Amino acid sequence: MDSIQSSDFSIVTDETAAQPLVTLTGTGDAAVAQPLDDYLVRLHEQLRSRKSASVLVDVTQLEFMNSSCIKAFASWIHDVDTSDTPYSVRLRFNPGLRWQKRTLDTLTRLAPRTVQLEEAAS
Amino acid sequence: MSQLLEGAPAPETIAHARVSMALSPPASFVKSVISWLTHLSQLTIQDRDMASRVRIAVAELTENVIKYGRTGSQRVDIVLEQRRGQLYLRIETTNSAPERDIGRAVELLSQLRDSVDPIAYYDQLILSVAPTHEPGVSGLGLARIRAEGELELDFRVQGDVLTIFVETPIGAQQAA
Repeated sequence: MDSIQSSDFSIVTDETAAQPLVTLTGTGDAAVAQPLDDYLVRLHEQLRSRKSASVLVDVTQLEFMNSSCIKAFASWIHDVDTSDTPYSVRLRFNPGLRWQKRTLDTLTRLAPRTVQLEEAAS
Repeated sequence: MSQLLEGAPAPETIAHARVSMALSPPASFVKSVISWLTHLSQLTIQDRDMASRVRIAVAELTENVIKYGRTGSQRVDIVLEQRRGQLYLRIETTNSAPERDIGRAVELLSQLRDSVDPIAYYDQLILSVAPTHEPGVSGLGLARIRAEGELELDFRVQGDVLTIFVETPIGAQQAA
Protein backbone atom coordinates (compact mmCIF):
# COMPACT_ATOMS: atom_id res chain seq x y z
CA MET A 1 0.00 0.00 0.00
CA ASP A 2 1.52 3.29 -1.03
CA SER A 3 1.87 6.21 1.33
CA ILE A 4 1.26 9.94 0.90
CA GLN A 5 4.02 12.40 1.69
CA SER A 6 3.95 16.17 1.30
CA SER A 7 5.62 19.00 3.15
CA ASP A 8 2.77 19.39 5.66
CA PHE A 9 0.91 16.10 5.56
CA SER A 10 1.66 12.40 5.41
CA ILE A 11 -0.05 9.05 5.58
CA VAL A 12 2.08 6.00 6.29
CA THR A 13 0.74 2.47 6.16
CA ASP A 14 2.30 -0.32 8.20
CA GLU A 15 1.13 -3.71 7.03
CA THR A 16 3.71 -5.71 8.92
CA ALA A 17 1.77 -5.66 12.18
CA ALA A 18 -0.97 -8.18 12.94
CA GLN A 19 -3.41 -5.33 12.57
CA PRO A 20 -2.82 -2.86 9.72
CA LEU A 21 -1.77 0.55 11.02
CA VAL A 22 -2.36 3.85 9.24
CA THR A 23 -0.60 6.91 10.67
CA LEU A 24 -1.58 10.44 9.70
CA THR A 25 0.61 13.42 10.56
CA GLY A 26 0.59 17.14 9.80
CA THR A 27 -2.36 19.22 8.65
CA GLY A 28 -5.21 17.94 6.50
CA ASP A 29 -6.43 20.91 4.49
CA ALA A 30 -8.28 21.47 1.19
CA ALA A 31 -5.26 20.43 -0.87
CA VAL A 32 -5.09 17.10 0.93
CA ALA A 33 -8.77 16.12 0.71
CA GLN A 34 -8.77 14.45 -2.72
CA PRO A 35 -5.51 12.50 -2.24
CA LEU A 36 -6.84 11.39 1.15
CA ASP A 37 -10.13 10.23 -0.37
CA ASP A 38 -8.26 8.33 -3.12
CA TYR A 39 -6.01 6.73 -0.51
CA LEU A 40 -8.94 5.60 1.64
CA VAL A 41 -10.68 4.05 -1.38
CA ARG A 42 -7.53 2.03 -2.11
CA LEU A 43 -7.12 1.12 1.56
CA HIS A 44 -10.69 -0.13 1.70
CA GLU A 45 -10.22 -2.35 -1.34
CA GLN A 46 -7.05 -3.79 0.10
CA LEU A 47 -8.50 -4.48 3.56
CA ARG A 48 -11.55 -6.11 1.96
CA SER A 49 -9.48 -8.32 -0.32
CA ARG A 50 -7.36 -9.41 2.63
CA LYS A 51 -10.46 -9.95 4.76
CA SER A 52 -8.93 -7.87 7.54
CA ALA A 53 -10.82 -7.82 10.82
CA SER A 54 -9.77 -4.30 11.77
CA VAL A 55 -7.52 -1.36 11.01
CA LEU A 56 -5.93 1.07 13.46
CA VAL A 57 -5.81 4.70 12.34
CA ASP A 58 -3.45 6.79 14.44
CA VAL A 59 -4.17 10.53 14.24
CA THR A 60 -2.31 11.50 17.40
CA GLN A 61 0.15 13.60 15.36
CA LEU A 62 -2.48 15.10 13.09
CA GLU A 63 -2.41 18.79 13.92
CA PHE A 64 -5.70 19.64 12.24
CA MET A 65 -8.16 18.30 9.67
CA ASN A 66 -10.67 20.39 7.74
CA SER A 67 -14.21 19.47 6.74
CA SER A 68 -13.19 18.28 3.26
CA CYS A 69 -10.93 15.68 4.90
CA ILE A 70 -13.70 14.79 7.36
CA LYS A 71 -15.92 14.20 4.33
CA ALA A 72 -13.30 11.76 2.93
CA PHE A 73 -13.28 9.88 6.24
CA ALA A 74 -17.08 9.84 6.34
CA SER A 75 -17.24 8.32 2.85
CA TRP A 76 -14.71 5.67 3.79
CA ILE A 77 -16.55 4.78 6.98
CA HIS A 78 -19.80 4.60 5.04
CA ASP A 79 -18.14 2.22 2.55
CA VAL A 80 -16.87 0.02 5.39
CA ASP A 81 -20.18 0.06 7.23
CA THR A 82 -22.14 -0.97 4.14
CA SER A 83 -19.57 -3.47 2.86
CA ASP A 84 -20.38 -7.17 2.59
CA THR A 85 -17.01 -7.78 4.29
CA PRO A 86 -16.92 -5.09 6.96
CA TYR A 87 -14.02 -4.57 9.35
CA SER A 88 -13.71 -2.42 12.41
CA VAL A 89 -12.02 0.97 12.33
CA ARG A 90 -10.15 1.98 15.47
CA LEU A 91 -9.27 5.66 15.65
CA ARG A 92 -6.48 6.51 18.08
CA PHE A 93 -6.58 10.17 19.10
CA ASN A 94 -4.53 12.65 21.09
CA PRO A 95 -6.53 14.14 23.98
CA GLY A 96 -4.17 17.13 24.00
CA LEU A 97 -5.44 18.17 20.56
CA ARG A 98 -8.95 19.12 21.60
CA TRP A 99 -10.51 19.17 18.14
CA GLN A 100 -9.73 15.48 17.61
CA LYS A 101 -12.20 14.05 20.13
CA ARG A 102 -14.97 16.34 18.83
CA THR A 103 -14.36 15.39 15.20
CA LEU A 104 -13.89 11.69 15.82
CA ASP A 105 -17.03 11.56 17.96
CA THR A 106 -18.88 12.76 14.88
CA LEU A 107 -17.44 9.90 12.80
CA THR A 108 -18.34 7.41 15.52
CA ARG A 109 -21.95 8.53 15.50
CA LEU A 110 -21.99 7.96 11.74
CA ALA A 111 -21.31 4.24 12.19
CA PRO A 112 -21.19 3.17 15.86
CA ARG A 113 -20.90 -0.54 15.09
CA THR A 114 -17.87 0.08 12.86
CA VAL A 115 -15.88 2.87 14.53
CA GLN A 116 -14.23 2.76 17.94
CA LEU A 117 -12.23 5.53 19.56
CA GLU A 118 -9.05 4.86 21.47
CA GLU A 119 -7.40 7.56 23.56
CA ALA A 120 -3.62 7.52 23.29
CA ALA A 121 -1.69 7.32 26.53
CA SER A 122 -0.28 10.73 27.42
CA MET B 1 -29.49 43.61 10.99
CA SER B 2 -28.21 40.19 11.90
CA GLN B 3 -29.44 38.38 14.96
CA LEU B 4 -25.99 38.34 16.56
CA LEU B 5 -25.73 42.11 16.51
CA GLU B 6 -29.32 42.94 17.28
CA GLY B 7 -29.65 44.83 20.54
CA ALA B 8 -25.94 44.85 21.19
CA PRO B 9 -24.41 48.06 22.52
CA ALA B 10 -21.90 49.89 20.34
CA PRO B 11 -18.65 47.95 20.59
CA GLU B 12 -15.22 49.34 21.30
CA THR B 13 -12.71 47.80 18.94
CA ILE B 14 -9.59 46.59 20.77
CA ALA B 15 -7.84 45.04 17.77
CA HIS B 16 -8.69 44.44 14.14
CA ALA B 17 -6.79 42.45 11.51
CA ARG B 18 -7.88 42.07 7.90
CA VAL B 19 -6.64 39.84 5.09
CA SER B 20 -7.88 40.66 1.59
CA MET B 21 -7.21 38.31 -1.31
CA ALA B 22 -6.38 40.24 -4.48
CA LEU B 23 -5.84 37.13 -6.60
CA SER B 24 -6.62 33.43 -6.37
CA PRO B 25 -4.15 32.55 -3.63
CA PRO B 26 -2.03 29.38 -3.86
CA ALA B 27 -2.65 26.63 -1.29
CA SER B 28 0.56 27.42 0.57
CA PHE B 29 -0.52 31.04 1.02
CA VAL B 30 -3.96 29.99 2.29
CA LYS B 31 -2.26 27.68 4.76
CA SER B 32 -0.08 30.51 6.02
CA VAL B 33 -3.04 32.87 6.30
CA ILE B 34 -5.05 30.33 8.31
CA SER B 35 -2.08 29.69 10.56
CA TRP B 36 -1.49 33.41 11.12
CA LEU B 37 -5.17 34.23 11.70
CA THR B 38 -5.53 31.27 14.05
CA HIS B 39 -2.52 32.41 16.05
CA LEU B 40 -3.81 35.97 16.13
CA SER B 41 -7.31 34.98 17.22
CA GLN B 42 -5.94 32.75 19.97
CA LEU B 43 -3.65 35.40 21.49
CA THR B 44 -6.25 36.51 24.00
CA ILE B 45 -7.72 33.07 24.69
CA GLN B 46 -6.48 31.19 27.74
CA ASP B 47 -8.85 28.25 27.55
CA ARG B 48 -7.45 25.46 25.34
CA ASP B 49 -10.85 24.11 24.48
CA MET B 50 -12.05 27.53 23.33
CA ALA B 51 -8.82 27.98 21.34
CA SER B 52 -9.50 24.68 19.59
CA ARG B 53 -13.07 25.70 18.75
CA VAL B 54 -11.92 29.06 17.40
CA ARG B 55 -9.36 27.28 15.24
CA ILE B 56 -12.14 25.28 13.63
CA ALA B 57 -14.01 28.49 12.82
CA VAL B 58 -10.97 30.33 11.42
CA ALA B 59 -9.90 27.40 9.21
CA GLU B 60 -13.36 26.57 7.89
CA LEU B 61 -14.45 30.17 7.26
CA THR B 62 -11.18 31.10 5.53
CA GLU B 63 -11.20 28.04 3.25
CA ASN B 64 -14.88 28.62 2.60
CA VAL B 65 -14.49 32.24 1.48
CA ILE B 66 -11.60 31.37 -0.82
CA LYS B 67 -13.43 28.39 -2.31
CA TYR B 68 -16.73 30.12 -3.02
CA GLY B 69 -15.94 33.84 -3.34
CA ARG B 70 -15.28 35.65 -6.60
CA THR B 71 -11.58 36.20 -7.17
CA GLY B 72 -10.48 39.44 -5.60
CA SER B 73 -13.56 39.82 -3.43
CA GLN B 74 -12.54 37.56 -0.54
CA ARG B 75 -11.79 39.10 2.82
CA VAL B 76 -11.27 37.78 6.34
CA ASP B 77 -11.51 40.00 9.43
CA ILE B 78 -10.54 39.11 12.97
CA VAL B 79 -11.88 41.64 15.46
CA LEU B 80 -11.49 41.88 19.21
CA GLU B 81 -14.29 44.00 20.65
CA GLN B 82 -15.39 45.11 24.08
CA ARG B 83 -19.02 45.57 25.09
CA ARG B 84 -20.11 46.14 28.69
CA GLY B 85 -16.69 45.09 29.97
CA GLN B 86 -16.85 41.79 28.12
CA LEU B 87 -14.37 40.87 25.38
CA TYR B 88 -15.70 39.30 22.21
CA LEU B 89 -13.77 37.66 19.40
CA ARG B 90 -15.35 38.09 16.02
CA ILE B 91 -14.34 36.23 12.86
CA GLU B 92 -15.90 37.60 9.71
CA THR B 93 -15.60 36.67 6.04
CA THR B 94 -16.87 38.71 3.10
CA ASN B 95 -17.09 37.82 -0.57
CA SER B 96 -19.17 38.42 -3.66
CA ALA B 97 -20.63 35.49 -5.60
CA PRO B 98 -23.14 34.78 -8.38
CA GLU B 99 -26.80 35.21 -7.38
CA ARG B 100 -27.49 31.46 -7.56
CA ASP B 101 -24.62 30.69 -5.16
CA ILE B 102 -25.70 33.45 -2.77
CA GLY B 103 -29.23 32.00 -2.74
CA ARG B 104 -27.96 28.55 -1.91
CA ALA B 105 -25.65 29.90 0.79
CA VAL B 106 -28.49 31.89 2.38
CA GLU B 107 -30.69 28.78 2.47
CA LEU B 108 -27.96 26.75 4.15
CA LEU B 109 -26.93 29.53 6.54
CA SER B 110 -30.53 30.19 7.57
CA GLN B 111 -31.05 26.50 8.39
CA LEU B 112 -27.79 26.41 10.30
CA ARG B 113 -28.36 29.61 12.26
CA ASP B 114 -31.88 28.60 13.22
CA SER B 115 -31.12 24.96 13.99
CA VAL B 116 -32.04 24.12 17.57
CA ASP B 117 -29.79 21.03 17.51
CA PRO B 118 -26.60 21.86 15.56
CA ILE B 119 -25.07 18.44 16.27
CA ALA B 120 -28.08 16.59 14.86
CA TYR B 121 -28.03 18.91 11.84
CA TYR B 122 -24.31 18.25 11.29
CA ASP B 123 -24.74 14.49 11.71
CA GLN B 124 -27.57 14.47 9.19
CA LEU B 125 -25.48 16.47 6.72
CA ILE B 126 -22.55 14.07 7.06
CA LEU B 127 -24.89 11.12 6.66
CA SER B 128 -26.26 12.64 3.44
CA VAL B 129 -22.86 13.32 1.82
CA ALA B 130 -21.03 10.19 3.03
CA PRO B 131 -22.31 7.86 0.27
CA THR B 132 -20.63 9.89 -2.48
CA HIS B 133 -16.93 10.43 -3.08
CA GLU B 134 -17.64 13.47 -5.24
CA PRO B 135 -16.29 16.74 -3.87
CA GLY B 136 -18.69 19.65 -3.98
CA VAL B 137 -20.78 22.08 -2.03
CA SER B 138 -21.73 20.29 1.14
CA GLY B 139 -21.88 22.98 3.84
CA LEU B 140 -20.01 20.70 6.21
CA GLY B 141 -17.48 23.36 7.18
CA LEU B 142 -20.14 25.83 8.28
CA ALA B 143 -22.16 23.14 10.06
CA ARG B 144 -18.98 22.03 11.83
CA ILE B 145 -18.47 25.52 13.24
CA ARG B 146 -21.83 25.31 15.00
CA ALA B 147 -21.65 21.63 16.00
CA GLU B 148 -18.01 20.96 16.89
CA GLY B 149 -17.07 24.59 17.42
CA GLU B 150 -20.19 25.27 19.50
CA LEU B 151 -20.16 28.80 18.09
CA GLU B 152 -23.05 30.95 16.97
CA LEU B 153 -23.00 31.84 13.31
CA ASP B 154 -24.81 34.59 11.44
CA PHE B 155 -24.72 36.33 8.07
CA ARG B 156 -25.93 39.27 6.03
CA VAL B 157 -26.39 39.80 2.30
CA GLN B 158 -26.05 43.13 0.51
CA GLY B 159 -26.58 42.69 -3.24
CA ASP B 160 -24.15 40.01 -4.35
CA VAL B 161 -21.97 40.35 -1.25
CA LEU B 162 -22.23 37.78 1.50
CA THR B 163 -20.78 38.31 4.96
CA ILE B 164 -20.62 35.42 7.42
CA PHE B 165 -19.57 35.98 10.99
CA VAL B 166 -18.94 34.08 14.14
CA GLU B 167 -18.66 35.74 17.51
CA THR B 168 -17.83 34.41 20.92
CA PRO B 169 -17.24 35.94 24.35
CA ILE B 170 -13.69 35.26 25.49
CA GLY B 171 -13.58 36.81 28.93
CA ALA B 172 -13.75 40.08 30.80
CA GLN B 173 -11.59 43.08 29.93
CA GLN B 174 -8.86 43.36 32.56
CA ALA B 175 -8.00 46.72 34.11
CA ALA B 176 -4.73 48.22 32.91
